[in-house]
Amino acid sequence: MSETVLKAAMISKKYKRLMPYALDWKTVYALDKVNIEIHQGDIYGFVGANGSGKTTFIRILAGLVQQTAGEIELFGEKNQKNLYQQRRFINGIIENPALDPALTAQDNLEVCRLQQGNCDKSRIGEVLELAGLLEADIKDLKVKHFSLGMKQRLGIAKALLSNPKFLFLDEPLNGLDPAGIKDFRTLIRMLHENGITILISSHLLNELDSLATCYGFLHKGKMIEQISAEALAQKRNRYMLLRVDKVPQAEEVLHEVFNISNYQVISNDTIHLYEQLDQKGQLMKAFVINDINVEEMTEQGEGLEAYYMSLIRKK
Amino acid sequence: MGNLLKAELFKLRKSFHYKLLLLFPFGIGLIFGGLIYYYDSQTVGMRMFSVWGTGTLYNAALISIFAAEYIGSEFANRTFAASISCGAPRRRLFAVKCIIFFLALLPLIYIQDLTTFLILSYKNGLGIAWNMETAAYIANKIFCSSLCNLTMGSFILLLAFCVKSKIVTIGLGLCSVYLLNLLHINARSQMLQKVLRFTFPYQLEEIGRDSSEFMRIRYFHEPVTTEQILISSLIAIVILTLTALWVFQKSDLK
Repeated sequence: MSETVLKAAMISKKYKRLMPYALDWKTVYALDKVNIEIHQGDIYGFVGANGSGKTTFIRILAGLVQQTAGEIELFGEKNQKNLYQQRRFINGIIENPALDPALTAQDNLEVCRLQQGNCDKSRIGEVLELAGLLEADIKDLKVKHFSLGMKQRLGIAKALLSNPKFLFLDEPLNGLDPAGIKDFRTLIRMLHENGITILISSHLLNELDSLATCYGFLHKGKMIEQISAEALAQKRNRYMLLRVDKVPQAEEVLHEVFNISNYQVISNDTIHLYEQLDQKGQLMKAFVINDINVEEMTEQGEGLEAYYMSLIRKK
Repeated sequence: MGNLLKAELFKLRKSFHYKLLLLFPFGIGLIFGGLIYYYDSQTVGMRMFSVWGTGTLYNAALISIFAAEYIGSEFANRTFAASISCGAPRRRLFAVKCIIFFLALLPLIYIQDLTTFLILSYKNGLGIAWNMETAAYIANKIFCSSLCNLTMGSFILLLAFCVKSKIVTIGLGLCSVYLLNLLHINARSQMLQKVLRFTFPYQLEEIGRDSSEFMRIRYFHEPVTTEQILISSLIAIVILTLTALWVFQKSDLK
């Protein structure tokens, strides 16, 4: 089992709200005994409606908000007072990126670099390039003139500056255009390959579906389900329908090239594939190289959105 | 802490608003100095020292605007949150903010007086023999008025950390200093008088008191010594700053 990066045990956060008509205080639980465990290398998809507590949890993780009850364990550190030392290895975006509008993109990153003190100046150029903001007329432009999408990209660049081991991204796709979303997806996959653990909270469930390796579903402050992507795919009866002309050769490709064993041969031209459903491009390429004609390759089964809605209805 | 200090100095260096804020009193100093230069051939440089840094309401305005920009904008832009979420301990962040705030405050307050003093001295001379006694007098004036202004600064710093809003910091900072000032001018109760003499509006006025042309309309007068200013200011700065730290540590940040 891989190392546990984050372990949150019985995290609760309550607020007292004044009810003006009743002239009384009402206790509202933003989070109610939430348990989360994220392992090294996971892409954890955090799913929940508006007001379900996702951002509150991320704020607690980042040390911005003190939990009412429960403990956070980060990289094995349990002492709540020493968590700030482990937070040097994490970074991220919470809602909108925190940027100084009076400074340029480069200066914002320079402030961050100086504060953290663990990377040299060349890293600024690297992250600006990763975020697609390296052009001279952008990096020297004051942030107050940036569009929402550009601010989001700069926020991602800032989050990556210190080469964090754990990245938390709260609604990172806000304001990104389709090209930006595609770049973001590529970036997340690249970071995942480099062993970085990522927590993504997003309303764009289709995007999460193609990225996450495990999920946490939050509803009204309570964790209603935590599940791996494979288990979720089976629960959602999710599979890839492959219609090919040479089933035995296709089986060989699945075994030899992709090490896939979780599939079912339905007929002499149909295979149902239950894992690595996000590898469409690679699968197609492999089949073509092995002279296998692919007549159909489509995803079937319940979408993540529908699954989430059915979970909520049960609660 | 060194890294945080470097980052804050970088931010201050790049801050257009701080440079603008410095320009404003500098401009006023030039205007006053210019007017005196052309129309007054009697006022000497030492006259400036008698009121060095003692404009309570004027200083309160400068400090409030600076606090709003330096502290309030960190809450508004959520840059405090960004620093904390990547491992900067709140205590250290607060300490660095305070150090830079207090260091940047004094040039802001004194640049006008310094400008006018230089112009006056150039035109009409210093007005006093330059010797150890003069140097000690000047040093004492600057020291005492710095302490009082730093006390006012820590008071407004506490307000800035409590309200976390730029506009409210400016409004509340100005109003509260104005009310304190009003209180010390109009206080009639002997007990209140004894307490108020340890507050910065009273002390600032006492520091400027040896300029007899400025008539102080007040119901009581009791001189304060340098030692009293030092002790009361240090106590006030420590209490106010530690309270601001406590508020910051307990705050939930967005």
